[in-house]
Amino acid sequence: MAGVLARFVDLRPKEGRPAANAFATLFGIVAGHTMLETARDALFLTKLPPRLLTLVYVLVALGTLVVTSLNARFVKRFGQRNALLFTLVFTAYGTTVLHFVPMGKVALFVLYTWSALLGTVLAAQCWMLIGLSFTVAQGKRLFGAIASGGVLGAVVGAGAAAGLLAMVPVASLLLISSGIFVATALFLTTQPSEPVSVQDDAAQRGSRPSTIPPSASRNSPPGPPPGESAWATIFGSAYLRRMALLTTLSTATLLSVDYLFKSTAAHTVPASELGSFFARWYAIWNGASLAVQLLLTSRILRQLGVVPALTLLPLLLATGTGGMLISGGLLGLAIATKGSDGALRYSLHRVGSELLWMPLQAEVRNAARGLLDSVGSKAVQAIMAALLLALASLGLGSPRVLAGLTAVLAIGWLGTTISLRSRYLDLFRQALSKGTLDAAAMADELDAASIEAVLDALSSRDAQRVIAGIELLAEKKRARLVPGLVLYHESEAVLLRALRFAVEADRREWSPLVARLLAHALPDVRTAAVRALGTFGERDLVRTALEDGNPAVRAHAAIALATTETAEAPHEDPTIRELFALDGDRGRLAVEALLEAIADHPDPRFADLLLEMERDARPEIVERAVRAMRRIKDARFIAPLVARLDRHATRQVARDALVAQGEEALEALAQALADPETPFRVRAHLPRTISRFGSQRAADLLADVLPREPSGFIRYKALRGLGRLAVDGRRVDRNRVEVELKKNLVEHLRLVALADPLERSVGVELGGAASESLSLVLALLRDKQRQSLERSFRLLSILNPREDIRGAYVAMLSGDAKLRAQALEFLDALTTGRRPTPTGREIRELLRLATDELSARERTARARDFLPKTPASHEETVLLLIREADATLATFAAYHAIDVRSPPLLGAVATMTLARPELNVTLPIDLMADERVRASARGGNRGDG
Amino acid sequence: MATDDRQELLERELFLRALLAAPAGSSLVKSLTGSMHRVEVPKDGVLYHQGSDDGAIHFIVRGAVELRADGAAPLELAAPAIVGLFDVLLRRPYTRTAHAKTDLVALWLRQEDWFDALEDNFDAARTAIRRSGENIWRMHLEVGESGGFPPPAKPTEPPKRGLNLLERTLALRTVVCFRGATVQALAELAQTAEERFLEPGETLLREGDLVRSIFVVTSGVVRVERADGKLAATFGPGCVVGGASAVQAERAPFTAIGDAPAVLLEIEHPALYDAIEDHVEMIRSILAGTAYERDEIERIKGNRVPGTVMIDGRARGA
Repeated sequence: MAGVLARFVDLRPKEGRPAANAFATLFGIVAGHTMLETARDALFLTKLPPRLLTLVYVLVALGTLVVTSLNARFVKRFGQRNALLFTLVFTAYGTTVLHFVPMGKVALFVLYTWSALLGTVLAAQCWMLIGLSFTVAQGKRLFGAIASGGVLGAVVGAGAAAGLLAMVPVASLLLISSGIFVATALFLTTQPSEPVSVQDDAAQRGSRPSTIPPSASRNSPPGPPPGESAWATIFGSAYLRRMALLTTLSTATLLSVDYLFKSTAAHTVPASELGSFFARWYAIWNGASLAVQLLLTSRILRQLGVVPALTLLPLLLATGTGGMLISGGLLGLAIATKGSDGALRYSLHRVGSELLWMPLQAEVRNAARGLLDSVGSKAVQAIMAALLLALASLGLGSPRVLAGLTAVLAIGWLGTTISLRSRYLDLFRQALSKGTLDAAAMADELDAASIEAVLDALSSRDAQRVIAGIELLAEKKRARLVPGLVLYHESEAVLLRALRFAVEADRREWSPLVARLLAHALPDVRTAAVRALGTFGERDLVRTALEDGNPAVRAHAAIALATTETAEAPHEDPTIRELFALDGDRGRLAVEALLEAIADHPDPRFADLLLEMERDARPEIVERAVRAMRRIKDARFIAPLVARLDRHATRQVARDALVAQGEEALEALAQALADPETPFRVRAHLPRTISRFGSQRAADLLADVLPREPSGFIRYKALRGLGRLAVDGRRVDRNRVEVELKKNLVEHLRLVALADPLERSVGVELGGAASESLSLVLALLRDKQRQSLERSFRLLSILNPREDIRGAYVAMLSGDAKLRAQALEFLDALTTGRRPTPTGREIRELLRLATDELSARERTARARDFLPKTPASHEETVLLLIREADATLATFAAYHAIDVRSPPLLGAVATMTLARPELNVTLPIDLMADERVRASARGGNRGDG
Repeated sequence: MATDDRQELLERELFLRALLAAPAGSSLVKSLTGSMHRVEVPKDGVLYHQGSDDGAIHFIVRGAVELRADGAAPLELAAPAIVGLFDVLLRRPYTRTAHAKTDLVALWLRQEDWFDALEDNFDAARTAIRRSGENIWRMHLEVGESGGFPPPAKPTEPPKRGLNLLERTLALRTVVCFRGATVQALAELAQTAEERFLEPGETLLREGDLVRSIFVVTSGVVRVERADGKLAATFGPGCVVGGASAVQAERAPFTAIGDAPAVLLEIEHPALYDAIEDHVEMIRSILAGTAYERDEIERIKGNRVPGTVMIDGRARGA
């Protein structure tokens, strides 16, 4: 039974019961209401003329206005389940009372209005309750099956009514429908009063990371402000405005299609055959609707995504009516058009429409939906009916005119649906929002208020705040706004930063203020003052610093003077030579200062000296030499700078210096990356260095890394770099990124498949050491799973640089089932794409497999088309892991195999020790001597060829 | 971009530059600025509740906040401050409720964005590690002779052979400040580590010496003491000699001597910092190690509720 069910419904653990409850509730409501409608129509039309129906429609429309408002308040006060329960009991009670009332004209009007209003309310309440119980991801899988409960209820209700009428009077159907409502209400009492998402395991995980602050005052997911009317809510939201337009156009189109079909049939089919004609086609379409519901709805939704799936019905209607417009009203086309409506409206379209409401907050959903589904649609029906009547009265009711009108409406509906995609994604973007403001969008210009804020910071006593103000103005190219008074600040840090800033911004008008600091008590400040004055060309002031007691101050003065006054070799300047000759700490400080001064006064004549200093044994000297290389362009610097990337102490400055060397350095980095002889520690840092160039060439080089680089770590670094460049607007070869993305997703699923049998062997008696080594193997596999998934998301970010994919990833890992589902739906909608490539389609499927709520075993089973043969047992898995290309994984698996001591595993380890000696795995001598192990190893060797 | 938004971004940028002392040209501030949410809490309102957990860090931009919990003295903090970071590092719900003492403006940042920014700004990550190491070391010296370090477990016999890669990785995995690191990162560290044997009475480090490595005890005991008598602690298996702050020390702030035959894994600073740069979760793991030690010290000091605060040292109530 479960197997048969699984062919129709993708049910996951814990979902069966709530889905069955929803199915049964919907079945009961629709069955009871169908029976009530049957009795109502029969009673009304046997006692009153059909023309009075128009009056009833008006009453229903007016009643809907009142009931919708009451219903919203009622649900808010008592909760969704209790409201539905009460409405069912109330409907049963009222219907029973009506059964006992003599059916005069007034009673019939009341009965008709009563059933119509309650039918609207019950359906809306039931779907809202269902919406609360499931996430959007579950909805896509389950709503088709759940909605089939409604279709089945209609079939059973109508069939039972027809059968019962042979035995009981029509009015008795009222009592029977009351009984069905009561039974449904009783069934509802067995369900929890506050439905919870069936996958909401946040409490069990004990953690609820969020993607937005609970108290965020901006850009929260949409929610109505207290006291706001439903209309205001609708008109205040771009999404809801489109939903309103969608309701209007779809209601008008469907009414028009219905009228077009009936009028075409009335013109074509003989009057005597009309009854059987309608009966036959309605039966066929009901059957088709049920089949679509059960077999296709979920699949179409999952394959196409919600919004594209919703374009199917208007597309078919537009095509059908377009054909009728051309052909002049062929009955076959009318049947096909109405057939699309019959098959899809209550199946795919209904479920898709329900899913469109899911991303909204419950209170928004309740308020807006109540209004649109009842008042909105009834009003549109009334207007459309009046329009059709007017057309007929004016002699414009020909099939061609009607088809044209309907085609226009259907095209409008289609367009509105397509335009909904970006708004639908926006809802998820808001729910998963990364931040509130786009920092990249902040241009360099500062307005008056901003300048005021920065100047306020500059006058602060807080040194860090002043420094922040200086740096901000410098970065925003408003350096002239920094006042010279900052040089009077009491903080050494501010003075040092201000003096450095004076050099960077060429504020030579500050010279008198800077000169004052030559007498400052702190040598660092005096040194900085000399640096500034030297840069400004204030030689006389600088010369006074040659007498300073501090060698660093003297060094800066000497370099500044030598570069401007020495014609040939400035490093031969006597003061400089004297400073170089100093030993001990004073000597080190002097050389450091000389190198800093060279950086301040970049002069190609110092290039040889810098190359020599770069090879110095003292790290502080090397760092300063590399820093100075940033200021002098010389191709000879490039090779040592690339080599310097292997040491973290100089990596950052070496990167800066390489960027300063320009395109020649970029090409050298490209060559180093392509050269397998480049040491790994250097290669590992090449991608980030390349990304620092920020150019299109840099992006292209990094994209080249993805398909050809064997090291996953370096590929990761390349994709991090690519991510930054993509955000900055560089073009990235989408095909290469897609291939890498697919590779990472497959790898993730392969690792899940490898870990699963091992996870199942945890707790099985393996012995202390084996359990410990198993835990490490598993931890490594889990790390790698996480890593490959995270990389996949980073690659997705490169493909969608403007989307907050990171936010979706964070949401995916959260304990909040609704948030996870929103992330899933966001990714699904995003990866649907307008023109997906074959790889893109595979990625969408893989992404779904990797992120969906599935057990490891189920995930592996569903991913089998993408995976090599997956292991079933602990032993099979360890054997595979011993042969893994990843050295760490293979090594750990080998040690675990040694701990387990099973001959086949030991044989594999013995083989491995010979084949991969670089792993340094050794088999204990006693085990090596074991004949069974040797036999197994021989078998393994033969097996390996 | 609207004027209000521009103003907001500028305020954030000024605030973050001042608080984090990010070097000029660093992308740290830029990447954080756009990832934050502004949160305004009126006086007497609550920024977050004890026991709640949104996995976020709060930067107090304007106003003052009081962190309250039963059984602990309230902590008052004024802007600029960072609150909630230790709870995030230790992956636990907030241990205190943050009440607004005044009208409060805060910036809310999800932890993943914080660590992403650190990954992209290694200097900032190093600064964060250095600062938290220095702070925790000061606290160790203030808490008494034991330094707040737990006594070592019963000494184990040194193994008769060298440790293989798996055993080394397992040993590193037991170290508090590496618990959050991936196995891959630890295996890389384990590969670069040198095994050191220390006899009782043998000196490993002398106070004031330049330090170029950290030492992880895998068996035996190492004694640590200071000339000023402020510290006399012992470290056993699963410990870094000197605790989490040792990862940033440039000079040994203590003398370390073998107390029982010990096997140590020596990891050189360059290898450690390479691992930190290569594996972002190492940053988090080491910061969490310092947060954990801080919690222990708070407990020794009698605070039943551990701290939740990490600030720049310039705010009141630090």
